[in-house]
Amino acid sequence: MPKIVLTDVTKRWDSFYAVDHLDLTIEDCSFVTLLGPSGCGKTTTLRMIAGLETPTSGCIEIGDRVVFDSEKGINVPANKRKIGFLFQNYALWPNMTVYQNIAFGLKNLKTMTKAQIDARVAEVSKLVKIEPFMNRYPAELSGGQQQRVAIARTLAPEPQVIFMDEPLSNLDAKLRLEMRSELQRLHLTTGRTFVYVTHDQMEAMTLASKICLIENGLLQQYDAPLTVYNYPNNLFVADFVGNPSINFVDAEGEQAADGAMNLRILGDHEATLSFKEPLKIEDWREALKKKHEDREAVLAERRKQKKHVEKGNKDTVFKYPVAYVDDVPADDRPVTDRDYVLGIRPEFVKIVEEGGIEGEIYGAMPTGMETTIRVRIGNFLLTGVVFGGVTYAIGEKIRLAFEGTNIMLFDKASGDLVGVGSAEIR
Amino acid sequence: MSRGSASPNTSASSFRILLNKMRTFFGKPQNTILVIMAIVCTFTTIAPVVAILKDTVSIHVGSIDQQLEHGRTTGFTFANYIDLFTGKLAKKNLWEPLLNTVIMSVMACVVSILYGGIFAFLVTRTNLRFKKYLSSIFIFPYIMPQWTLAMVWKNLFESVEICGTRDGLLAGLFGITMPNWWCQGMFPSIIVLGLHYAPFAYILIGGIFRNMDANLEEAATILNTPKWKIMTRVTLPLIRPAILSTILLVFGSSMGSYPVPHFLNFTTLSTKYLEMGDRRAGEASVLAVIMMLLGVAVMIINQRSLKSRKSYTTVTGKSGQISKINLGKVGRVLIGAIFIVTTFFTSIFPIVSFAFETFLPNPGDYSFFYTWNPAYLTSKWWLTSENVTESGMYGQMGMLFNPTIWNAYGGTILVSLSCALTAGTLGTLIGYAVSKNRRGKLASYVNSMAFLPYLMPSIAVGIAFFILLSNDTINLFNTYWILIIVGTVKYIPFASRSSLNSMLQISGEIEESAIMQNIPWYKRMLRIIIPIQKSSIISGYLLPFMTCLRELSLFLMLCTQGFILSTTLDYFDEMGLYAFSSGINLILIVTILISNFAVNKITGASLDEGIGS
Repeated sequence: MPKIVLTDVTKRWDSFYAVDHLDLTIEDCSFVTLLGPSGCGKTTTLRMIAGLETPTSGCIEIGDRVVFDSEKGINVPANKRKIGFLFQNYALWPNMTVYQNIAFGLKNLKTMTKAQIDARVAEVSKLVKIEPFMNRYPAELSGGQQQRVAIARTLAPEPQVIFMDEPLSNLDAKLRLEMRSELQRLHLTTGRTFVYVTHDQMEAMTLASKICLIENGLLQQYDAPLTVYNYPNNLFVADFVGNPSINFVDAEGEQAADGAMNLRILGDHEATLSFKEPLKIEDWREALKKKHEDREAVLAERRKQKKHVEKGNKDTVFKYPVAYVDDVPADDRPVTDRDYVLGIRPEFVKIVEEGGIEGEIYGAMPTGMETTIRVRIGNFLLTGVVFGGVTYAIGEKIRLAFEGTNIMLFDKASGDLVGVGSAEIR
Repeated sequence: MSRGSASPNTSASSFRILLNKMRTFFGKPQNTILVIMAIVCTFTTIAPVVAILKDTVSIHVGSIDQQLEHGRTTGFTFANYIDLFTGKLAKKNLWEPLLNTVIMSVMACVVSILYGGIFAFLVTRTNLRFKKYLSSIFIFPYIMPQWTLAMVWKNLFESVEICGTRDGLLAGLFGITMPNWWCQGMFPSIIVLGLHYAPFAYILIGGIFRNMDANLEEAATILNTPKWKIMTRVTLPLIRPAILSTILLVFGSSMGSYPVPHFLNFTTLSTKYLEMGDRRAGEASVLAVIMMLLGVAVMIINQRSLKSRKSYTTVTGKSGQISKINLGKVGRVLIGAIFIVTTFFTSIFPIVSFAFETFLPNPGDYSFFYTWNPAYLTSKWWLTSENVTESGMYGQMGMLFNPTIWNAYGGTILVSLSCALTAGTLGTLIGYAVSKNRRGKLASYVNSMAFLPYLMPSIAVGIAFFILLSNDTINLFNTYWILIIVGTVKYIPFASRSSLNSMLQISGEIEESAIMQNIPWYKRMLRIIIPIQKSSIISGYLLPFMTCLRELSLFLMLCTQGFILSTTLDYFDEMGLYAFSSGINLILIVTILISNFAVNKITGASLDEGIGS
C-alpha cells in the first residue's frame, strides 16, 4: 500500500549539503537499504522521511499523502506519519520493563483492550524470541536482547513502513550475522516495507531488494544489489561495493574497428576488451557530453533561484585507489579521451598456467573457504580470490589471466562506467 | 502533484502556507514553550531592568535630586548620576563601596576556589580518610543562611574592648581579643563569603574530577610527564570550565550579598544602597545599575572563555578506574583530621553555637563556662509565654510562643514552596525546550534571559521589582505575590540549568522513539523524560526551596519585618535580641536539614547533585 516518493529533497546546514536534490521512490513491500560512507547523508534522508528532521526544500509523499512540502508549508509531524523507527542505539526507555516498553505505544492507541494489548505484546515478543525477559529492565539485557526488544517495540503497533538506522552496528560480529538473517525473515513474515540505513556494504548486499547508494548527499545508484555489484555506475560505486575491494588498473588506448578496446595496462601489457553489448565509444562520449550539459543547465537554473546557496562540500570525481608496491609520484598528466580505468573484481583474477601476465605472489591469506592473494606485477599489485583451501608461497612465480565477461571499463575523466566485457592479454 | 504550478488565488494560498507553517512550528511542544517563555522572560528580566533605569533618571519628590533640580517634580534628570559620580560624597557613596565590593567579590572567589577546589581534589583523587563524612558535611555552609557564618564569626571574635559591642566566645572565655581588622570589615567578609560558596567550587570542580577520564592523565603519565606538569597542562585546563562557572556564581552572589557585609560592618554597594534610603533613592538605583553591569560583565567574560570550552565537552563518565594518589598512612589521616576540624567550625559549630546562644541570659554572658552553674543558663528566650517587659525581652514572647516568629515561619514556608514549585516547573520546561532546539536563536535567547537574573545581585533584583511592582498603579508591596514572583524569577536559573544539563544527557532518540509511537507530549514527559532524570529534576525544585528559605537580600526591600523569617531575624538582630536572631537561625537550619534529609530519603535526590551544575 504505501509507496514512498521523495521529490527534489534537499537538506543543508548553511552551505553544507547533507542531502542534495534527492529523487527516490521506495516501492511497497520492498527492502531498501540506504548505503554510503559515514556522513554521506543516508541517516539524514531516513530521518527526513520519518519526520524527525525537516528538509530544507522538496516534497515527500508516503502512500497517497503528502507529508512534507516546503512550498506549501506542509509538514506532518513524525507521530502522524504512521511509521516504525528502529534506532541505532535502540532507545529503549530505561525506566520501563521490556513488557512496558512494548506495550506503552499500544496503550496509547486507546482502541485496544488490555487483553488485546497483552496478546499483541506476546505475539511480537514471540516473533523476536524475547518472551523470557518480559519483566526485565533494558539494563539487565544483553545488546542482542535489547535489539530484539527494540524490534518488538517497533513492530507492535503494526506500522506499514519500518525504518531502521544502522540497527546492527552495535552488535558483535557473530550476533550481527544472526540478526541479519532474522531481519530478512521478519521482512518476509511481516510483509512490510523496510528502509534500512547502513554503511556496511555486506549488509546492504545481502538484505536489500534494492540498494540506494549515496555519496556527498548525491544519489550514485539505485538498483538491485547484483546490478550495483556487476554494473556500477561509476568508480565510487565500484569501489564501495564488494569485499575484497575491486582492482583498479589505469589503461590507455582506443577503440579498434571491430569494436574492441585496445588498451595498454600494467606498464607494458597489451590488453583487448571486448564489450558484452556492442558499443560505439563516440556515441557514448556524445551521450556523456549531453548528460554533463543537462546537469550544468540544472545547476545554472538552481543558481538563479533566490534562496540558492552554493554547495560548500563540493562534488569531485572519485579518486580511485590503485595499489602499488612502492608509492609512485602523482600523475599530473592531463586526462585525455584515451585514458580509461579497468575495474577487475578479485574473483576474476585467475592464476592459470597459460596466463598472459607474469607475476609474483606478494601476500596470501587463506581463510579455509577461499584464499585472498596479492600479486605483484612490476610495481603494481592486484588482489585476487582463489576458492578452496589453496596456499601459495610468498615470492612464488605465477601467471595471471582475467576471466569472465564482467571486466569493467570506466572513463577516467568522468569516472563513469563505459561498459563491461571480457579482457584478453596479448 | 501540482507542485510549483502557480495558484490562481495567491493571497489565500500564501495564507494557507503561513497557516501550515505555524501549525508545524507550534506542533512541536518545545517551540510553544519557547515562545511563551520568551515572552515571560522578556517581561521578568527586561522590565525590572528598564524600571530601575527609569528610576535613575526620574525625580523623587523630597529627595536630593529634586533639590538639585531646584524643586522640579516632573520630567527627567541626570542629577543622580552627576551627583553620585562627581558630588562631594562621590568617594564615600560610590568609589569606596565599589572598590570594596570588587575586592571582596574577587577575593571571595579566590578563597572559595582554593578551599573548595583543594577539597574536591582530595576527595576525588586521593585516598583521604573520612571522605564520606567530610563530603556531606562540607556542603553545610551553603545550606545554611548566608549570614550564619558571619554571626558565628561575631560570636567567636567580637569583644567589648575592640568593637564596643559585646564579648564573643574567645574574649569571654579566654580573654583573647582579636584586632579590629580581624573582627569586622573586609577580611572577615571575604573569609565568610569564601567559605559559604566553597561548596559550589567543591561540587562543580569535584563533578569534573569525578567524571574526568583518568586515561587522559594516565596517557601523560605513560609519556613520562612529571606530576606537576600533568597537573598544570592536563588537569587544570580540564577543570577550567568548572573554575569559570564557580567564579561566575561566587562573584555574582558575593557582590549582591547584603547580610554578610551588613553583619560584619563593611560598606559595599549593597549595604550602601540601603543606607542611602529615601533621601537618595535615585542615586541608590544608580548603585543597583552598577551592580547589574558588574554581573553582566562577569557573564560576558565567562561566555567568552566558555566558547573555547566546547573543545572539551567530551569529558565523559566512561572510565571508572581512577588511580588515586596515595597521601601516605599518616598523611591521609592527618589531612582528614584537619578538614574535620575546619568543617567543624564551618558546619557543626554554627548550629551548636546558635543553640547555645539561645540559652544565655544576656548576650555574651558566658558565666556558665566559668562556674558550670546551670543558674547561668536560661530558657526564657524560648519559653516565656506572656508579655513581659523586663529581662530584656522588649515585650516579646518566647520564641516557641511568639506569634510574629511563627507567622513569619508560615510565610517563609509558603513563599519557598511556591517559588520552588513555579521556578522548578518553569525551569524544567525551559531546560527541556532549550535542549531540543539547542542551536536555535529563540532557544539561546530564552536561555540567556532566564539565566540573567542569576547574575544580577539579589539586592538589585529586589530593588528592581520593588520599583516595578510597588508603585501607584500596582502595589504588591508586602504581599506574598511579590515575594513569589521575585523568588521565581531569581531561582528559575537553578532549575533551568540543572534541567538543561540533565536533558542534554538524554539521547534525543529516547524521545523520538516515543514520538514515532504517537505518544502525546505530556505522557512523554511524565512517563519517560522526567522519570529518567528524576534526581536532577528534583534538585531543580530542591535548590530554589532551600535557597528561598534562607533568602534575605532578595526580599529585604519587598516586605516588612514580620512577614517572613529572614527579615524577622534581621529585625530582631537590629533590635539587639541576639538570642532571637540565633534562635531563628537555628529554626531555619533545622528546617533546611530536615527537608534535605527527607527529600533525599524519599526520592534519592540530594542537594549536592544540582548545586550550580
